[in-house]
Amino acid sequence: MLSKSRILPATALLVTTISHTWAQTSIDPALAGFRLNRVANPSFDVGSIADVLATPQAFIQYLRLQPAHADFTRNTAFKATFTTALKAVENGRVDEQAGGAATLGGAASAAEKAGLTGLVTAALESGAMTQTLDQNVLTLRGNAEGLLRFLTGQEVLPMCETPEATDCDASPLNNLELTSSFDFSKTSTTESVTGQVPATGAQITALLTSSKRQFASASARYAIINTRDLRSKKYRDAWVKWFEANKAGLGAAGNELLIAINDIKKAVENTQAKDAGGNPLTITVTLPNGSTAIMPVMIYDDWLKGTKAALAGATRSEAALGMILKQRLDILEADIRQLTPDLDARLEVAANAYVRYFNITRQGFALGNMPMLTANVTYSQPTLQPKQIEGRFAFAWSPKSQGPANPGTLTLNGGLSFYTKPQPKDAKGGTARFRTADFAFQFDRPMQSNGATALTLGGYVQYQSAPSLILIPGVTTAPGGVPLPGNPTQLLAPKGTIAVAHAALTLQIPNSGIRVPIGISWSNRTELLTGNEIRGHIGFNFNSNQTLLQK
Amino acid sequence: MACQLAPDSTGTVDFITSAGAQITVVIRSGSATAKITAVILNGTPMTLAGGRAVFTVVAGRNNLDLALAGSDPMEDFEIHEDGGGPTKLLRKGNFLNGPTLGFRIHAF
Repeated sequence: MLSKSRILPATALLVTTISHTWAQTSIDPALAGFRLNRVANPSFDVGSIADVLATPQAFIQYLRLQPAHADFTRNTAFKATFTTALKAVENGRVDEQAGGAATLGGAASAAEKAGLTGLVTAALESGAMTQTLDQNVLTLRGNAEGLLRFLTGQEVLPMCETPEATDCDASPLNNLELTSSFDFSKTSTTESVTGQVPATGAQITALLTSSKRQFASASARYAIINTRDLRSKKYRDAWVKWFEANKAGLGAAGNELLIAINDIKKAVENTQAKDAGGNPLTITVTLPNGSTAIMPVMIYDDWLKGTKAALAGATRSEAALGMILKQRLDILEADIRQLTPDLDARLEVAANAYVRYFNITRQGFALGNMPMLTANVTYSQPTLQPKQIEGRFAFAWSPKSQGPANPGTLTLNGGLSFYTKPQPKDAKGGTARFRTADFAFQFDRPMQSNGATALTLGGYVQYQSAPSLILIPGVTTAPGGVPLPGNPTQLLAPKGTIAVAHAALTLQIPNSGIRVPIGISWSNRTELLTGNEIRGHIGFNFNSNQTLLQK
Repeated sequence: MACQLAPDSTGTVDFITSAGAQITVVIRSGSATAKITAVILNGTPMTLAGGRAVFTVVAGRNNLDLALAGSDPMEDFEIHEDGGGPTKLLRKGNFLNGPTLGFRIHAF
C-alpha cells in the first residue's frame, strides 16, 4: 500500500503573494463602508466616493464610529446588519462552479457546483483528486447567452424598467454553459503502476508519464431549475409577489429612513457657504437656454468639490485615498456638528431606521437561496485512458438565512460514466462501455469572520464496475529504463471503489473577480493505483462578471 | 414632454432645471426587481405613482431622496428621468452603497 504526501510548490508562492495583497489593505476600520478596495479596479471612478451624502450609509456608519459619538449607545444591530449586507456581496455566490470536475487531473472541489457563470469564467487548478497523475488544468466556462450578447455588442445584462418588460428576458440559452478543459502542465509527472494485460493476463509494471498541454474535456451544462438567476422569470415573479405583499411596509420604513437621513444632512445641504471674507458663496451657472444665472453654493456643495479635487490628486491606492477621505470627512463632520448640535441623537434615529428597513428587505434577499438543479454531459480524454462520456446531475440547496448573507450552499452530485467504445474489462475477453458511478457532496460556507473567505468541505465516492483501463504508449519503459515490447498496449489497473475527503479555503480578492481555492484531499486510492493519497490543491479562478458588469 | 433635468456644468449640484418643472424619476436594473419604495423632496414624503417618483421642483434648492429595494444586494441599477420620450440616465448605482440615493437639484 502506498502512502504519499505532496504539497504543490506553487502553493507557498501564491499564499505569500495573496497575504501581501491583503496586508496592504489595512485602513481605518471606520472607513470600511466606503469600500475603498474598489480602487484596485482601473475603471473605478475615485471621485464617486466623495458624494457621501448621496449614498449616506457609509458616512453615517463612519460618524457613529467617531470618538465624538462614543458616549452614545451604539445600536449594534445596525452595524451587524450593515456588515452582513456587505459580506453578502463580498462573499458573492458560493454555488457557482469555476474549475473542472473532480475527475480531472487538476481539481479544487470534490463536487461540481450547480450554478452557471454569467459570462466567462477561467480557472487554473493543480492537484488531482481521483486521477493518478497530477496535472495543471485550465478550465474555461462561458454562458451561451452572455457570450452571444457580448460578442454581438449587446448589453450582457440589459436594464428593464418594469417586470412586465420583455426586452430583458433571459432566453433558454441563459441556462446553458459550455466548458472546455485543457492540461496546461509545463512538465510531466510520472507514476509506476502494475496491472494485468487483458490479452494475456500477464502482470506487468509500467512507468506512466502524464501528457503536457493537451485537450482534457468539454462539457455542456444546462440549469434545469435556475431560480437563483436574477434574470429568470420565475425569480422575478417571486420577487414581484414578495414586493407587492410588502410594499406598504417598505414605503413606511423607507419614508422613515429618508427623513432620518435628511435630518442629518439637511443643514449642510441648505446652508450657504461663505468665502474667506465671510461673504455668501455663489457661482455663475450657464442654463440650458444659454443664459446665465447666479446660484448659491451650499456648505456641502463646496465641501464636495474640494473632496473630489483632493481625491483626484491622491495616489491611487487604498491607503492614500483612505487618509485623504478621513481628513475630508472630519471637516464635514465638524460642519454638521456646528449646525446640528443634536447630531448624535439623530445618528441613532437613522441607525434604527436602517435596521427597520433592512429587516424588511432581507426577506426579499432570502428568495435568492432557492434550490438549483443542473444537468451536465462531459466528453473527456483522461491522460493514458480511453475516451469517456459522463452524465451528472448537480443539486444545490442553501439553508434558511437570518440575513442577506448567503449562509452556505450544500451541493450534491450523482453521475455515471461510460467509455465511448466498448473496452476490455477483464482478461477473459469481456468488454463493457459502462465505467463508473459516482456521488459527491460539498458544503461551501462564507466565513463570518472574514467576508472574503469561504470554507469548503466535501466528499466523493466512485464505484468502478470494472478495472480502470490504462493505455500505455509504445515508448513507455519499465522501471530501470527497460523498454516495454510491442506497440501501444492496454493494462487493467486494480479495481476498487475510490473515496475522497476534501477541505479547502477560498480566498477572494475583493472586486477583482479573482478567487484562490487552497485545499487538501485524502483518498483511499486513485484511478490507477491502490494506496492512500494526500494531496494539496490550489486554484486561481477568474470570473468576468465583477469586472465587466459591476459599475 | 422632454426630460427637464440638465447636468450642472459647474459641478456644484447634480442637476439644474426650471422652477415648476414636473419631474418623473424611474429605476431600472438587469433583473427589473429594483424598486423605488419611498421618495422625499426637501424632507417631505411624496406619493409614488406606479413605482415612479413624480414631483414638482420649487425655485431654489431641491433635495430629492429615494429609498430603494432590490432582490440582489450586489446588483447595479440606474436612475432615469422619464420625460415621455427616451429616458435620460441620471445616475448609476449599486445596492452595496446602501438603500437610499440623494440628488441635489437647483431650479431657476
